[in-house]
Amino acid sequence: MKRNFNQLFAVLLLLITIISCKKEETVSIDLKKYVDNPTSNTPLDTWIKTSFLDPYNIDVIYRYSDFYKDDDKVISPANPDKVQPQMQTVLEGFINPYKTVGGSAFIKKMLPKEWVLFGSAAYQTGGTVVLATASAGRRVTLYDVNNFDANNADVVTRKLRTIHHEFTHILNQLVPMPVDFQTITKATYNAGWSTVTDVTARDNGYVSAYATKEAGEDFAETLAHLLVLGQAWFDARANAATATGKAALKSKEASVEQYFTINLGVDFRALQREVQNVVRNTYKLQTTGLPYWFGQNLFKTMTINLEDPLYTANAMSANFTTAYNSFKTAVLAQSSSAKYHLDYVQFRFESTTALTVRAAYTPAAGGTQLFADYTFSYTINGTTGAVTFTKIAQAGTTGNYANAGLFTVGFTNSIQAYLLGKTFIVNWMPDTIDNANYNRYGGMYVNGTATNYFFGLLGQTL
Amino acid sequence: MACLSLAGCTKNTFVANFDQKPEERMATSIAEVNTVLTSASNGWVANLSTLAGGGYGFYMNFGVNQDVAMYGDLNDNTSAKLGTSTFRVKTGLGVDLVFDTYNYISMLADPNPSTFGGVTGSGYKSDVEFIYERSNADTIIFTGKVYRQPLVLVKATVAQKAIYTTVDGYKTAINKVKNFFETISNPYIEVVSEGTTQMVALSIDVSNSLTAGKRTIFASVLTDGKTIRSVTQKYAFNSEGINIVNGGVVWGNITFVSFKWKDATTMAVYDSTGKEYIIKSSPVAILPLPNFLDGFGIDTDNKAYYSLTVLDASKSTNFQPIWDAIAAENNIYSTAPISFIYLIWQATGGDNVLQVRVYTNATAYLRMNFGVNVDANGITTFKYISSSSSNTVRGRFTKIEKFMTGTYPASTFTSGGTIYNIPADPNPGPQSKFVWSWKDSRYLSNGLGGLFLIDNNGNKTGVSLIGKVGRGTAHTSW
Repeated sequence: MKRNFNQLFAVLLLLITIISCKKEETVSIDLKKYVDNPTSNTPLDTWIKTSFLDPYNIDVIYRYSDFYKDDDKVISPANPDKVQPQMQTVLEGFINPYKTVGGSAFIKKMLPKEWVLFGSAAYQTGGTVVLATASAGRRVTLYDVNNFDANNADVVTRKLRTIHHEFTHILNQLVPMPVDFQTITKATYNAGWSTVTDVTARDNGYVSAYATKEAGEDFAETLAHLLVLGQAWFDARANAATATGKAALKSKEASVEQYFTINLGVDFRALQREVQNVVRNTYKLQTTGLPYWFGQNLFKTMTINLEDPLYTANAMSANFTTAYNSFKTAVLAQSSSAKYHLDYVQFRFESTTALTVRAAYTPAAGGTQLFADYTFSYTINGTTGAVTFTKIAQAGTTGNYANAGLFTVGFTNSIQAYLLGKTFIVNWMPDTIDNANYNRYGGMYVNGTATNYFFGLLGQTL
Repeated sequence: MACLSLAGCTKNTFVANFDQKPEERMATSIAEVNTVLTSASNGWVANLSTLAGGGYGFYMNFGVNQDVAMYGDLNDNTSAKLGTSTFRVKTGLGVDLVFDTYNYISMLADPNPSTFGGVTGSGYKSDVEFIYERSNADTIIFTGKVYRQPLVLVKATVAQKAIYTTVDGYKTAINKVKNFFETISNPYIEVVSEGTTQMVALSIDVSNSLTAGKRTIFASVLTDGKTIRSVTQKYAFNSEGINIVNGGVVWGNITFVSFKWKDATTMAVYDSTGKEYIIKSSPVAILPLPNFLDGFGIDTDNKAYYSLTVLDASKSTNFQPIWDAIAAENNIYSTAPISFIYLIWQATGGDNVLQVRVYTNATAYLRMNFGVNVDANGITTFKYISSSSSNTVRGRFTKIEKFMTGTYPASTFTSGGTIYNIPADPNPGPQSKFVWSWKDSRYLSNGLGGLFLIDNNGNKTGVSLIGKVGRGTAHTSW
């Protein structure tokens, strides 16, 4: 009995222990409401909510919190007046292009969810400054917002480049970058990038000195430059580099394109076009305009073959079509036996002043294609894009020039008559061009008469 | 065992060490600071000290929607145009006040010198985040989170608010004080301290210079007749004058805390007890330059000056002909134009040898030593001792010797393989006599002074060798 009692006591004791413990009141210290997340209700906050939080679940944090900065860096807070212009650029130059091309599902998954803005650049103890950082696949921090100037195309696009650069890091944190990219210029990556000159970087196949730091930065820089500064800028840089450098740059471009189109399922050329549309038309960055590159003589040929199906989808103006077809008829009529066929007309810009208009033609029975060259001079204004043509004495009398003599009258009355006595404006065209050809076609329209124009395939070599 | 179990469990029951739970106490603190800040109907007069620069004043209004509007005494724009931004009070190490978007107070913290100056990477070493310390009926005190500088906010009166909120009110008040100190000659106050009546010279630097700007200097000659006591403290402008920050200027057992207008044209300094010291003007410098020259070359009292740099830009109009003559004489032998003249006391000669150097670049190539004699009236005369340099001797700089002593003898030297015979001064003058003096009354703010030539009656002739009085470092620009 005593033993039973002991057992009973033990059970009882256990019970008491449990009960007494159960009875213990919960200590509820709730600090959740002290999570530092300031909210206010200014028009700016409303704009941020409707533009970022509601559609994309993106939090824009512009009120200073030292939680978002490194302890060893000195940063000052953002000026609220600069927040909306800066974020507007993010919206139109970054989010919208990705949304248009990648679709809602893609951006909702991939877009960084926290955008932190600081007023000044982040100064590091070594004296260098940080303009932006991307971290954890979800946060982008933009510094130096107080110097943002929406009316300065250089400032805006420099920032836009930074944004695209940082987002590339985010993408790489979610979908690894292609391995082949990392091997293209593996030998010249250099942690001491700040001492690398721009020319050295270019000749080694980089878009910028910073790109030489490591493959990850290189990838982000290559992409940001292709998107924001545009294909023409990229090609011009490649052309200016050594043969090795050019090959490396072109390989990197291909790798970036593949990463987007294959790995991410985002049409890279379409994306490039969307971003370029904003940079060219909204920000009007001069170096993305065709006038600038014609002024630089980057594009050396413009080839027009009206029989190309491309001209079915993208109509040539009636005025030029008439001139072209008139010349085509004259070429055919020149020889009743050979019955020459006009294959194409090519503008060959040999310098910023010298031009040859070339007609390529072939006998109806086939055989060797022949050329007829007509010598012109021209002027180009790299800012306005204004172009005027002047027919000058033929540069020779034999070969292509002798061929030209066969069609002199026909050419003079058609193509030459069309070109002379007018001021044309160089521009990217046509608007209807498909994504694949977006960077490859350009043309000219008669100043003041946008419906009178011609355009063709651009080439960078004669 | 039962006891143990029971005790163990009982002990876990929460008993607050204080009256409330932590989050409740936090809420109370935040609400308290928030309420105090937003409840000042006339706004706040704020004083801030920066770690690297001077003091700065603000007038602030905190709104209930976390909005703050302020004026600041940084420049004419910040004192005239209301700056609006946001603030918040949050938990941190206690309660923090954060000026969380850009306003004038953040300009001092901006690491980019193109914003407001300061050092690249740290600005003026000031904060945008402040830790609450304490408050009383009309004052609330914070400390900068990083640089630990005090931010003191005092509730504005109706009268103060009226000035701050008038168009250009603060700016006008600031400029009135600046103008007072620009036009007054040798300002000083009389202070009875440590058993004597002292004339204490006053100076304010109104610039935003990191090392000297927004500071006031109180200085006086002590009873020994030569030791200088000077106290430098940071200050901020307010609607009524100047508030000396960081606890004021401690002078003996007196603590000066502010400058205020006594009437429309009279300013006074006030100490911590409210005692008034009218600012007076003296026709002569309160602190004569020779007092600072005491200890030339022997830097014992840490106040001595023992060098003088004369740049082309700082020489007096009446020294111009002599400078030109020195330059012309130099051009005979050298293609390098002279850049500055430098006087430095020679430690080896005690206080009795002054060396004059002529520079064409950073390297002195003429060194001419003069013996110094000072009579009881402070009249200084020089006697040629020696000259030295790699390829030049005495006769190449006769114009300097002429200025310093009144004449020069015949001499010979060789330069570039040519032997030059320099004849003696055709018009030997009497011994040149000088007094050391500041260039003008505001010696403390510009530091210009030098040798003034005097006539036989002891009056300044107008000819003087004026430059930056310094402590041995040649200034190539200032």
